[in-house]
Amino acid sequence: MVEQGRVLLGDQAARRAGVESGMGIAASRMLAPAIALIARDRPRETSALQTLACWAGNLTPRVSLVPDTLLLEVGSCLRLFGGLEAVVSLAREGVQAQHYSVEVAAAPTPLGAQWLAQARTQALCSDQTTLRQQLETLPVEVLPHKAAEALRRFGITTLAAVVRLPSAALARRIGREVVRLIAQALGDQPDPRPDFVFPERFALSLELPATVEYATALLFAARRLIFALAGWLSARQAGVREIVLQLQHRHTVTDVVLRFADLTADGSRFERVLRERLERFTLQAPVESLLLTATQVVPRPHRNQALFEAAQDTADAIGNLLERLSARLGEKQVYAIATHDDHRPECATQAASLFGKVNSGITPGIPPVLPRPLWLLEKPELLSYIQGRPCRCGPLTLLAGPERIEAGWWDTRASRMDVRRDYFIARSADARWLWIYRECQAPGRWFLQGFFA
Amino acid sequence: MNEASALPDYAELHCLSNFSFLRGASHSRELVQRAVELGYCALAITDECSFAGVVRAHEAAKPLGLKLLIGAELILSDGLKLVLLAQNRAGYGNLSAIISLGRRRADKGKYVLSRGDLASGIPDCLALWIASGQAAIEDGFFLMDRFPGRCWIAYERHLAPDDRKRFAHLQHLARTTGIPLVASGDVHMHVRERRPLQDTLTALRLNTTVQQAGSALFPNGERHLRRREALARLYPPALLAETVRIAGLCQFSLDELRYEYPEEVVPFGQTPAGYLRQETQRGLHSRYPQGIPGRVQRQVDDELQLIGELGYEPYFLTVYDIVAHARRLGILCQGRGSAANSAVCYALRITEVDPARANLLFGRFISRERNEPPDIDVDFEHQRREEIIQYIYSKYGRERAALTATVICYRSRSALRDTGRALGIDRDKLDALTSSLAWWDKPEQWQARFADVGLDAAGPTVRLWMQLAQEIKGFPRHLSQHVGGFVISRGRLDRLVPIENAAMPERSVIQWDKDDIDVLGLMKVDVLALGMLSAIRRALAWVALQRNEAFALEHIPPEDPAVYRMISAADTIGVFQIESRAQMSMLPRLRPQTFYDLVIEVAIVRPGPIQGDMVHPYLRRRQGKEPVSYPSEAVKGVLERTLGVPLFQEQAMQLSMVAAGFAPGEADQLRRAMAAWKRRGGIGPFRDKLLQGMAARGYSRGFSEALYRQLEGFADYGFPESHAASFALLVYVSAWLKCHYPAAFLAGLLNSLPMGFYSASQLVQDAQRHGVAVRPVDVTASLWETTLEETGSARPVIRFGMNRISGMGKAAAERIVAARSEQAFTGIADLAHRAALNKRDLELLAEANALVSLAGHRREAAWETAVVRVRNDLLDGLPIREERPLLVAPGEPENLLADYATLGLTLGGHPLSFLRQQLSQRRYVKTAELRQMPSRKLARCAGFVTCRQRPSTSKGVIFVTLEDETGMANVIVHALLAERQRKELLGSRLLGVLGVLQCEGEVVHLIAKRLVDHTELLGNLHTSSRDFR
Repeated sequence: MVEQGRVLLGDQAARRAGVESGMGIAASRMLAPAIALIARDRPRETSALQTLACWAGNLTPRVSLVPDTLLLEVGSCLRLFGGLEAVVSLAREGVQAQHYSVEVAAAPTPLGAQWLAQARTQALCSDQTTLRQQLETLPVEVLPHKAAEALRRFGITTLAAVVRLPSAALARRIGREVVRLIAQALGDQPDPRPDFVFPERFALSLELPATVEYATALLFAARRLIFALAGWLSARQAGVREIVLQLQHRHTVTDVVLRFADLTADGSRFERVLRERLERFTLQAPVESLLLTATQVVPRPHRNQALFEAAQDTADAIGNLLERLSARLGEKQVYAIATHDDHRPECATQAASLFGKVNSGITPGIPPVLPRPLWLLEKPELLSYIQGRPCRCGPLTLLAGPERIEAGWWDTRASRMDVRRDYFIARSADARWLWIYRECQAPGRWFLQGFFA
Repeated sequence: MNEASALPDYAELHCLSNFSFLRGASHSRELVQRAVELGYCALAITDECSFAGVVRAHEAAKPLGLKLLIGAELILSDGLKLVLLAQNRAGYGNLSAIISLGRRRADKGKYVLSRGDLASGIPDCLALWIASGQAAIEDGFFLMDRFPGRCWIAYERHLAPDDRKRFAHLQHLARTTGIPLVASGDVHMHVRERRPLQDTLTALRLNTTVQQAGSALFPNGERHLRRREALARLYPPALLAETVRIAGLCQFSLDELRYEYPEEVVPFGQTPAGYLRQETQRGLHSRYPQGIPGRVQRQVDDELQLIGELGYEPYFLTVYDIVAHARRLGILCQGRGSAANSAVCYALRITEVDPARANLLFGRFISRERNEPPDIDVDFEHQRREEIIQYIYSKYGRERAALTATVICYRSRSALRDTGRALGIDRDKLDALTSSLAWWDKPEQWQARFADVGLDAAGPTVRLWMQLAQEIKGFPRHLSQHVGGFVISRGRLDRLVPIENAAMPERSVIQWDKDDIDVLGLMKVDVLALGMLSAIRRALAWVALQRNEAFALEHIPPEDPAVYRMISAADTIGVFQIESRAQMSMLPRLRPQTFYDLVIEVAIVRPGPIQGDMVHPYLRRRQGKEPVSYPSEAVKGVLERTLGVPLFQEQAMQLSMVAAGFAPGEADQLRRAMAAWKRRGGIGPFRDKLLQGMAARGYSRGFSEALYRQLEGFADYGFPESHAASFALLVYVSAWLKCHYPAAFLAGLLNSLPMGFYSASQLVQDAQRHGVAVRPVDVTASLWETTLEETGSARPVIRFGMNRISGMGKAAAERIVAARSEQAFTGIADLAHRAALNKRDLELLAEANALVSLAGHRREAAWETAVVRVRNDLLDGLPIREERPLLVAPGEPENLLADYATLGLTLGGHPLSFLRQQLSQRRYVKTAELRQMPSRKLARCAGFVTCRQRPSTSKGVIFVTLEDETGMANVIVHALLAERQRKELLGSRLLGVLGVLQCEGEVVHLIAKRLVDHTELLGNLHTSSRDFR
């Protein structure tokens, strides 16, 4: 993992190759040419930490987030869990169960606990004296970077040496704030922390009373989740485009993804779509629990104006129809036609998912001036060639052309390699207008590509 | 009637080369070649607002007898698209001026032109209107006005669906305005097969991929040079005939360009010849105050006569003017190049190389017959060259002086990167691939690298990619500025060649590079920067102070045996040129005894002689182990001074004349081929002629073949004697300084860093080993620069300047010096207050241990400075009474770390001396002990990696230099081991080497068998290696 051009963390293989923290990207690539570099993703880290904070609600209602650290106030619930060590091991196991590695420490002050954890001491201090002893062993690096640097210059390396310095003189040199931090860590000054506000994402799970073996039987249980979601959405004046119902089997899970053509918060619609889906669904394994996640929550504008209601209803109706069609026939069987910017006629239109994001590289690109037939054959039809003229139910008359198209050399799909063709508009004996082409390369065969009328 | 004559004649009037960057997909030589094959009667090169490719086209067209038209495509800011063609020299100049105008007012690489710029038309140019199917008739009237009788409507047919409609529209325009129609091709490539590359370029231009580019790509590959039978099918005969008529109206060739020297270098009323003679004579009197030796006077007279015959006086005077100005500014400079090694240049003080002393004959460098342009490069002190550049701009003006361009071309890495990008290869994969193309990976190894990043090397995408990358390699990407080549002209330079803006502000460059200029015979003066000159100027100033007399380059006594003794012992760290590993291993074998030996030394350790296998024969002959023989008297004349082995580029040319019978003109072509081998495809074309010529003159096949191989070596990396001679002078001067004034020399070097091969740390250690005493930075004694301090004894000591502290500002240092001179500092607060230092300055000084006289050791200084108030504080100067804690003095290792972090070196013990015990436990010996051990003995040695080198001539061998407290050791790592222990080799800062000693004379190498990374022993110590330079 890299940040600002430097390696932050590496896995075992990276360490074996000699890649170390703090190393430059070029250097690490030189050592391990096949190294996969991942940029540090702070938003993801934050959200992971927030998820953990949610989870920590199991242990204590008072949770506090600082960068890289989760602070749990457990003093008030020690008795509930049976002592400090019990709480700490619950916390450690709980986090590890979610596949995170964790450094835990406990102390009477939040900052004390934070520093002890960051310094990987695993210390559990239940009183001020132990705390002070433990803290004094810490290196100055637990302090803000600038202060630590200054202290190193004075030859001061541990907090023990720091607290022995005259504090007024010290404050003038590393700043009052840092001196206050030390006092807070030691418990000599108060250190109030804001509580974590639980986030606004929806993910609710439900243990099934007994394992379920038929998909349709899941609907009943899922309805609870769905209507809870609907209520949540409406309270938040939000809608979703997609929800995921995760079927959790003993060892595996199955995701049932429900997509909606437009933003919706309608519980009965969720249910209807889910029913359509589950009716055609074969379970891989018995389901033990369900997890419902709203993955694409979007604030929803108010829909109060009567004037647009009718139109809105029509849109909803079409949406309903498409959803039901694709739920029945399969998502791939119902698609939209989108233009695609490519000189090759067979590539100029594309099947697009109804529910995909609009505009993902599919742009209305072909200039309208080009003479293109409305109806293209799925596969060009080989034409016969008699006395120098292409034939289809008799010889064809060339009306316009040639238009030369040479494109697609980059396309490595076997069926769509480089095309080199001269296109003509031709009239057939039965007065139909055809779009035909001749291959530029030998043998120069003629093909029918489409009809103009 | 035969078939060929049945085809219509055709001249292509609209054709882009790859100098229309990211548009044209063919080299101009390919276009010219193809046009000839197709029997075109003329070809116009009309790059977009550029003449950058015309010289190459001209060079290609001339021998093939193809008529070349010079023109440019211009797209005005309102979209009007034109092709302008020069009819004659005046039209060429006008077009060049318009291109300059458009380019100069836009950022690098862009241009802006509007209709207003065409207000009075462009006289002597023809205009082709590249009209679209919707072109407005008003544009036609506009052009008729500006180009009366000289404009055409171009019909460019590329088998688009609307061809017929568009042609009808153009015919309508033509009928209405009376402007005639003509056919043209909008050519972007020489053959249809370049279509993938052209599409790739388009995608790159639009910053997209070929898949996404869609209709932005051309719908087909018709924009190539088409066969005339195809054209006959596409265009009415009259339109084709019109192209030939237009070509007939253009009668301009680049050969007509006449370069004229600037006038103002000659005072009013004097002739260049008279003035040059006068100044030369004056210079001789100053060089020889006791009277000019007759021999020298005769040489000068001969040279002046030759210069006069060739009309080169203004060139010498131009250089003289620049050099004289540098002297007025006190900037040290030194000329080199063919013309620089003349008695005239010595008299004019363009060079300090006394040609009489140096066995250098001017006639060897400049000849009547060869008609090559004179060449003088002048090196200036690197930190002051900008002053010279600004002088040239101010003297001649920006319309008359500009830098030459350097054409930046696609190379392996950039070719792979860009074509990969256009093909939509994953950015991650691209990054991984191109950065793991360690610089030595050859194209043959690419395949393996693809596999490394998970690409199927045999897959179709990779195949396309490789093919495109190969094709684009060598394509120009953009124009950059040459390091210092100035073109100065008498009249407006922008009428000779377009001028455009460089990326650097206040710099302008012409659209041609040095080879273009060479082809057309334009004068160029290279104004280059050389760090060693800065060092020498500084050292000389100290020497003058020490000797208490004026002391300049010319006062350095020649041929000092002590200097040659030092050089022969390879004691040359810091000496110009001969300080590199390769040079140092050559010195004890070559044992230079005279100035000319230095000239040879400079030239021999180069890829050219090494690849041509000339080094060992020369050494054997010099050591008397091999007889010196010559196949003929004529050859002896050329090769005698180098013992029968050709070492210099000049000798190669002379040999081609005396041994193979080349005419002087041919020899000059050979020289050009060698100078620009990439551009002209090497000296292969000369092979047969050389071998035949030598066979005809009775030389053995073996001799001829060997000579040809040597020439090939030169073609890649030849080094001219004329440059070696000037470098050798600086070698001698810097060696003399090191030998006799090591402290002054070190001070000069330290203040001129970065330069050369060694770090400050290595230079200081070397000086210390030579008995130079060095004192640390101290705010109560140091100046900004490193200085020499008088000690009362004969040997001055070095006092580090505050410029050694990384991050320290010059202004702050100078305030400290000024405040100190008024009154000594009483303490940190006084220092901070009177020198107006900020917190950062103080911290740096404390960390560098420069406050020791005021505040005690580093930690105490840090404690003291941490609290000092910055300026303008209300409490300024009010002492705060506070208790002072006891801070323990830092230990040696900590001081060492801090020294390296702030100064890049330490005056305390060498870091490895602290690790010696641990290293001894691991049975590593000191580098000094290696030198006492016998050859072929197994040895273990560890040290800092101070340098990794992989000479291009060494077949994958990597040279590593290890440094410890006793000196340096040379390690050779063979390619196989380098690949196997890549991690240790590239990743270690402290490297242990297990190997076998190889001693040859005084040269000791450790051939590595196994590498061990001991970097962990160093803790936090930061050292850096100067890799692969």
